[in-house]
Amino acid sequence: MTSFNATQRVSDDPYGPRGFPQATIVLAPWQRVAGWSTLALLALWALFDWRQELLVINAVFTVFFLLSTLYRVMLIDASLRCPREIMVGPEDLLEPPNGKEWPKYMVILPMYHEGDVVGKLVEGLRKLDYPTDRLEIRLLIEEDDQETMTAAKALDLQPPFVITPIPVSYPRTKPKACNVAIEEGDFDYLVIYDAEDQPETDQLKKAAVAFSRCPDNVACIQGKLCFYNSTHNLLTRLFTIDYSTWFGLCLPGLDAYDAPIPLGGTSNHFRLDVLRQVGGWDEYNVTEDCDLGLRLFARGWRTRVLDSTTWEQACHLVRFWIPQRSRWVKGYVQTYLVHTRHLWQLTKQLGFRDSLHFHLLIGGSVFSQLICPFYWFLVLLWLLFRPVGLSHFFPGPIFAMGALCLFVGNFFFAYTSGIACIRRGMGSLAKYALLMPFYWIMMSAGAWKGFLQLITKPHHWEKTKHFAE
Amino acid sequence: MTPSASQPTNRTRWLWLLAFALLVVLRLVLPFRASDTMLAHSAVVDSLLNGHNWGRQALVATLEYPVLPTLALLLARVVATPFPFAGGHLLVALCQAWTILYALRLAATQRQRLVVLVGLVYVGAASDVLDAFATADPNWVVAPLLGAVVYHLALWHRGRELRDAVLAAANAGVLAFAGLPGIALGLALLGGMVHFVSQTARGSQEERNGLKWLIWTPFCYCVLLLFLWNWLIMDSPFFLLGQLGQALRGKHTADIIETVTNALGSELGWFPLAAMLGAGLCLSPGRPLRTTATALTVGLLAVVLARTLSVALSLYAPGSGIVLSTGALGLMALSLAGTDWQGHRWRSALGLLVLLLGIVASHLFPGRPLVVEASFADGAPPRAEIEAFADQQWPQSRVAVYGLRPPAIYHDPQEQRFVARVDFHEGVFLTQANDEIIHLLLPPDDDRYYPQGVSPFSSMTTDGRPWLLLERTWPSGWQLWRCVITPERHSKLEGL
Repeated sequence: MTSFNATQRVSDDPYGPRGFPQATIVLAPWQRVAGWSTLALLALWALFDWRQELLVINAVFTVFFLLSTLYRVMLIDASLRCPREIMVGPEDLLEPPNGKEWPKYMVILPMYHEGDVVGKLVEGLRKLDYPTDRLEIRLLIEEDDQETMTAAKALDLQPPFVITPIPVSYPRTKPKACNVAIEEGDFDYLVIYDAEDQPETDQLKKAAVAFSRCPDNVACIQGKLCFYNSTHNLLTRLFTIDYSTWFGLCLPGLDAYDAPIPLGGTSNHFRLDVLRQVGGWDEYNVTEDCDLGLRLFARGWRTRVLDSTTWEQACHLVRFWIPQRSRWVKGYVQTYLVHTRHLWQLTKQLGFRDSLHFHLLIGGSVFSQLICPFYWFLVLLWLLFRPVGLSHFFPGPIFAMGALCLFVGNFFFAYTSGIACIRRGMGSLAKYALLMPFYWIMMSAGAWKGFLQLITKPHHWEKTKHFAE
Repeated sequence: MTPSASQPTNRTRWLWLLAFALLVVLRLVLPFRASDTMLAHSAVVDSLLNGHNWGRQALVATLEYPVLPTLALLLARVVATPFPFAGGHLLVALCQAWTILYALRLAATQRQRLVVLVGLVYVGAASDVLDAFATADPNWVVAPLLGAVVYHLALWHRGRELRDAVLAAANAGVLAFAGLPGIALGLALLGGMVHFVSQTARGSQEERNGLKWLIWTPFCYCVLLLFLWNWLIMDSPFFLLGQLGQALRGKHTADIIETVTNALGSELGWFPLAAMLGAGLCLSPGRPLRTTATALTVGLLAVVLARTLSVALSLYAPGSGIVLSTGALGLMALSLAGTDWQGHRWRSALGLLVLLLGIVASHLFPGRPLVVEASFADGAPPRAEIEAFADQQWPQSRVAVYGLRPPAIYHDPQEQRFVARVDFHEGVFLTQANDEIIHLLLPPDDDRYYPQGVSPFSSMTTDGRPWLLLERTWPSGWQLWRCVITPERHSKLEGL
């Protein structure tokens, strides 16, 4: 039987005990030095000429905004111009891809304090259209999570369901549980779902067929995610629009460019042998899926997008939504910092073009969210009070670029969000896309929470709250 | 979803790019005819580059010299800086080449090379079109937008790819920045798109609702931006509609209707009318591109209406001649590209015959030229003469000019001798007069510079003001007034 040791330390490197760079610490020594040096320089500059300093910083930020906007235009245009999502029709699912038998599939479901939803989850997964003798569904339950364990045992689960207890050890994160789950077992493919997920019933077969159609270097297939409770309230509507844009336009755009794809949290279908070969998930990273997607790419493996949807539950309360968002942002920063520890090596591995994708998508999106509130504040200031001094920081070319981002860029983002809804068959949600600026403000709030938490509690896992329907 | 069959390969894309570059170079070599429209927009661009308030005001405050051509000219000027040709010429060359490219791509998409041939005949035969092509007018920026709308509409009606709908809607939306004809054209084209969605959408109600939102949103946003910019710069969101309102107040409804109905024939010109008719005849029901052609025909008729209404109100309809010329070209491209020659030969032949007759008619009974533009610099007294006159008594005193056209004629980037403002406020003028000796240069009350009879300048030219002294009147009707409120530092009594 093939095995994989999720806790094996293969290196003495404190930054990568399992043989690949991990988020065991936030900053590598040189990053720390560079960070403090930059701050010191900025402080010194401010003492001499703070106006000139602000002008230059503003110019840099504005150019960055413009580049980010152009990059997003490019991605979305590519997704609309030459969609590459793998389409598998019902007629393709009648026979196994090799004509004999369907590949062996492992489904893993990390759960923690999900006693309320475990019954519904099992009920949903029973609908999966896949031969049960070729399938194993592992419910990953922490040993001390009595609530979930009791609820799961009460269901008297039969194969393909298996309860996999996760021993109590640190860090207590979802990727750690996933790593433990893949330690044992001979399977061809693996998929990870969240506790509240409702994948399309033929998704496993579609993924198996998709793998068979893809070249050998495709190690992962990302399903699309959407929300089944999108019309619950305004937040869920905006959240759905956000998801539709990400999974319906941005990821297909990356796919079209054959660029590194940061995986979404669930519905990632892997070739299990490759997953083990690259070391599984980084248990210290709070967006381990994003990190894994990039690690796969850096090692020459590719990810493709499958046109099959997993329906999730959108968080409908701001007080739970913000922590979830903060974890994502924290994880993106972790991932960015981990992968830029060896910047030159990363550029060599990815190539110039794909490393630009990495910087703009992973670093750029977080950076945008962090600095956006300041610019929204400036816009409000300008609209309401029109302070004369502000023009000093916006000389002609900077003003032109800034105005372009403000009037065209923001509209573009909102408009394309609406397009994403239409593309996902949710046209009635499109009109809410014009309210996305309010959602972006919330995103920035989450980003700042995540960024600050990276300093205070870098490995704290803000668990997403799921609600029983 | 599979990649659209019409998506060009990399090689084809490079070929199109090469063709585009060649067309641009060719156009730059050919001569340009100067226009007052270019003069006005250039003045606004100069002022913007110098950071003056008049430039900002002129950018957003009028429908006659709309924001889109000005911004396009500004961009072209910046791009053309290192090159030995004018930015305005570069803009026109780029736009014309781009428009032609759209017609060629449409023809290539439909696998009908004939359209190229007929298009060349059309351009050669119609003097209006040639004249429009020769004119250096920044409103040419509207032509590639129209080309993009038609091209993507045609693709959308055929393949139903969302990207084409988005691009058609976005390009039509930007037309809101192109003055009254642009707004009319955009509204008509988008209305056509929505009608098509309502009538033929195969998808669910959900999809139809989404598509309608997708179609209208860019246009509405652009209109909203116009109001926002007017609020920010002119302190009134509806300032740009003020001139239109004044013009409407200054005319009787019956007169407007009469002028419009009388003007329709002559304003439209025979040729575009014939082209539209011919296209309509060619595009019998059931043809693949008939919906696009119908939307375009309705759009062009809307432009004709906007143009004649503008003429009736003595307003300049920017780019309407260009839109009508290129629109007719687009219609012809569509009708020829979409024509099922095998099935409807007699109808196609009839359409072509009408087109031919139209060409002949356009020469026999020439209507008012389509390229007719706001010619406003004629008759204006020379700048040096005004300065010399003012210097006789008040050396280095400044002259206030208001609106858009007079400041464009007497454009003074440093505002050393001519002070320009778009809006006139008596209080502000008098405050200025308290600081310096100031003259007021008033153009004649002939509807060319401000609405006759209703503008405050109308009464000034006839009755003056208690604080104004008429110093000189030119034969063309231009008047130079001086404000008699003497600033303290200029007081003749100061030395006593």
